[in-house]
Amino acid sequence: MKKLFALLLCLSMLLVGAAALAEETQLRAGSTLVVCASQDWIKDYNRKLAEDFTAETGVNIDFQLIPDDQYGNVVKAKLASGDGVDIFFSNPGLGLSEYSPEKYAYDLSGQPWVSEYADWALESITYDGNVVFFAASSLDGWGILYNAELLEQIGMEPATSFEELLAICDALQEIDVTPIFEPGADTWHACVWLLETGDWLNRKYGDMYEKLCDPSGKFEDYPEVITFSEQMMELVERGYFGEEEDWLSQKWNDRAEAMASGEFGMMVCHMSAADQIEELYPEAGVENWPLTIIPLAGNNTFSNSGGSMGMVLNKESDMIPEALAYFEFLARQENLQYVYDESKMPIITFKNVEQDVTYQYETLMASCDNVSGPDYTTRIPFYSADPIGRAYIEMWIGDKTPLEAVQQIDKDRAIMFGVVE
Amino acid sequence: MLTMAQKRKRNAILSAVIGWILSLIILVPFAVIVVNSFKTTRDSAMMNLEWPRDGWVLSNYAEVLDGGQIVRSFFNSLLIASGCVLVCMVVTAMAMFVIRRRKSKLHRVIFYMFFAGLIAPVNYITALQILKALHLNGTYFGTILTYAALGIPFAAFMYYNFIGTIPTEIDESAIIDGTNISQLFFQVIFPLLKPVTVTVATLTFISAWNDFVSPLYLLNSSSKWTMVLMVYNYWGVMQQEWGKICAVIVLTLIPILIVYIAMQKHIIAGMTSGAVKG
Amino acid sequence: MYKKQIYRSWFTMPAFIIYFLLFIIPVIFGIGYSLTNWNAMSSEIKFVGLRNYLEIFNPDNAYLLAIKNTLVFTVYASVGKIVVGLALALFFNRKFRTQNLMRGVYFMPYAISSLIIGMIFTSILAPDGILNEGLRAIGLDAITKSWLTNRSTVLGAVIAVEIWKSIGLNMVIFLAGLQMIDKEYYEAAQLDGANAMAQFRYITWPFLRPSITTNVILNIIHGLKVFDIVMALTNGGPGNTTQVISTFVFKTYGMGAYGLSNALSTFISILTMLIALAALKLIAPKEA
Repeated sequence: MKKLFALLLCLSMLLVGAAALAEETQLRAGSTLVVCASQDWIKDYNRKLAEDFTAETGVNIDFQLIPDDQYGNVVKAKLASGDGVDIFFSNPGLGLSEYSPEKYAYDLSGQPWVSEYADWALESITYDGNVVFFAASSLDGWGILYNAELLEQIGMEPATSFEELLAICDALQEIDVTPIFEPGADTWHACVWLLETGDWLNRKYGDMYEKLCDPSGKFEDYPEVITFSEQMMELVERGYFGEEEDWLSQKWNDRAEAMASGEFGMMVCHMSAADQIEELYPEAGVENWPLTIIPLAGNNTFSNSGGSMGMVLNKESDMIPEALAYFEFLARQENLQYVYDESKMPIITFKNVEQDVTYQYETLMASCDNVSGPDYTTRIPFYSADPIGRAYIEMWIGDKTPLEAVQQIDKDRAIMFGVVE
Repeated sequence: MLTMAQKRKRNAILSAVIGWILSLIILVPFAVIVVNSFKTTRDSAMMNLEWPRDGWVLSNYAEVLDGGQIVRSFFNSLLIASGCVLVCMVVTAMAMFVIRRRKSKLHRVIFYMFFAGLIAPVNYITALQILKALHLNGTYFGTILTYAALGIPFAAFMYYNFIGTIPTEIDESAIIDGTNISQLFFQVIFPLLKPVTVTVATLTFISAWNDFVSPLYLLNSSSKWTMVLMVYNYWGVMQQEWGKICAVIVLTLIPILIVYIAMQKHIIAGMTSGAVKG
Repeated sequence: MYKKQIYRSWFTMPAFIIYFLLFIIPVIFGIGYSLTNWNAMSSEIKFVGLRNYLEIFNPDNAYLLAIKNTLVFTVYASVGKIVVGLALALFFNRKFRTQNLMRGVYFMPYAISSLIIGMIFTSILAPDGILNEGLRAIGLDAITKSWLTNRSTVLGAVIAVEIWKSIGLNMVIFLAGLQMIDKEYYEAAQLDGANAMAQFRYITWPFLRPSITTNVILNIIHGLKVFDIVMALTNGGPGNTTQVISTFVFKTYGMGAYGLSNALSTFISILTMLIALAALKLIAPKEA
């Protein structure tokens, strides 16, 4: 018995010693960093880098995927209940406001890689003066993606005005092609049309973004927004989307197949999503898919999201050293280059990467004469996908007039500001 | 002309045949899910009853079981549902025993309060607040208690009726032997409640297992998610990959179907007895 | 008197405490919060009286639509379940082999999560799902529709799925009620020359009343609280066409408008209680 006791004592001392030793090292091997994201935002190359990180440090990365339309609600609920979220994704700039940034956004200003950010990215990665985002992404935004082969068939060029767009759609209908592919089943998509008016209107009025940062600022106050919405409605009324019950069941994930099939002439798509079509259907060639700005209501600039979704470190996380190490790892030149090359994004938020613009980027910037600026999501709070998308779907199916849809958008924003009118 | 007996027999066979044909309406959806869980993603995209063109595959099951999330959610569901049933049965039987025997005004009030729960929907937002105040939000314990609270009304109703059928003489003879209420209840009465306990426990278990709303509001950490919530998540994430989604659905349905098949008689008997007597 | 000593009150306490804390108090608090402007953005909560309720009844908002949808859903689903359930019960109210097994099959959907049923039916009711494929196979191409995105059929489709799930329950309760009727009554009636209709009216119907009451109440309560199946099938869409109260409660909760969410929740609680009590009084005045 005595021998056994002595042996146990030695063993336990050894264990305690080992534990103490392990604690002294910076990162806790075997621990797990929880990263919340929506399913589309984590690609294979992100996972590969995560694996590399784990191999190097022993810290695991757990990507918790949440369905698109629940993402906001679920993350907010998790943050509020203090429940194991270390890193989460958010729309850059003021897109962060719905996540109570004063409480949850860790200040990354002092991190070594901050100086490597490109100038154009700076605005979107800060909130209230502090750098809070790690975003290795591209300048992104939405435009109309055309099937060039079909355009050739009708002998037309991408539209630079609403009238031209109507002409193209009419011509497409004559050759039995559904002019516009709208994934109605994914409610959020309906909100991206209006999204592209941000920069143009802000330049026109000078203080639109400022006004909309306050609940008293309303979209309804801007006649261009009403016109834009009316033109969106006209597209449906003329039958350019196809049969209502059909386009309402079309999904965003079907876009590659749909566009490549030649059944549709165009769709509203964002820059980096166009490459999925190329990947799956390379026969048509890159140049089959030009991207231009949405020319409704006279819009003539490209509103971009200054680098799309970025990662935010939860201030209340107890894995801060590990998370910072993860960001540092991702910010290494070779890893950024890897992401850039694998994703085929046009440009990237970091300066130290060798970049090579895509065809879509070229055509898009050409269509707006290189005039581009931030869109709503980065500069005003509560440009929320579900309420805005839903309001537009209601308009398209005839439950609301364009004016009523805009009013609904304002009402929902007021609710989120915390004001019940 | 057929005799009465022959007529009855003919009707019986006719009933059986028609019944089984109609039951296809019930069975076909399940058949679709099972068949498609063994098809490749491409093949399952159509979600029909055709024979798998790319052959039967087990890869869907392998992939969804990989990472252990489904298994973990299974244990979560098991823990929460079982915990709920345990708590709910014991405390409700205890309470109903006293309420049924005493019939005082106060106890009537308490009973009607329980009964009201059958009708009124629960308010998750404020319940969550109470859990937070007790530092129980997001914990298994807090969740089990909430589920139990949801199950109490139905259990109360069933126990109230059943205890009425136990003669008070049994109580009296035990009391003469000098027992206190705890002993009286747990050693004498509770064993007699076995039939209704089995029925109510099964129904409460199934209801807790299938509950989607409660964990949606109450459980945030995905490591504590129940199977139903996990399925919902998979469905949102894997949108078009019906093969995998079907596999997840099948895995989620298996436990509940096992319980259902084993306890079928009790379930149906329970639902009808309580119901028919009003 | 000795009752008090034996059946001690503390025995009711555990159930009472759990239930009171996690059910009663939340409902009461909910009523209280529904009169405030509690939301995720502001840290101070102000009393605003009935403003949230005015929002609910404001015709410019979609809440009235949700209330209408909930009521339409409840009525049609309840009636459908009872009609189909009763028909099945009457049909199967005779002995034959495999009877128990068949009963088990019909009841099975009720034991499955509504959410999963909703998911399964999104594929069955899809434009290229097996329902439409089946219709095409028997030459009924003309009536194929995109059931869940066509505005005229979507609510009906949701109701149909709900009926599918619960016919087993209604059937089983009716069967139990029917089996309590002594066969002798029918035999006596036949000897007296009564036809099937008369038998039904004078024998079956009176005995069925408790079962009908039960089914009506169960169906109504379930219908008013419906959530899972709508979330899975349409998420309230297209647009807001199939929103019901509980999906709006969830949506406003997600938007952070907690005061408003509580108002919706309280409203549906009160509505459910009133309707259930009214139904009880109407159908079974003696037992209420």
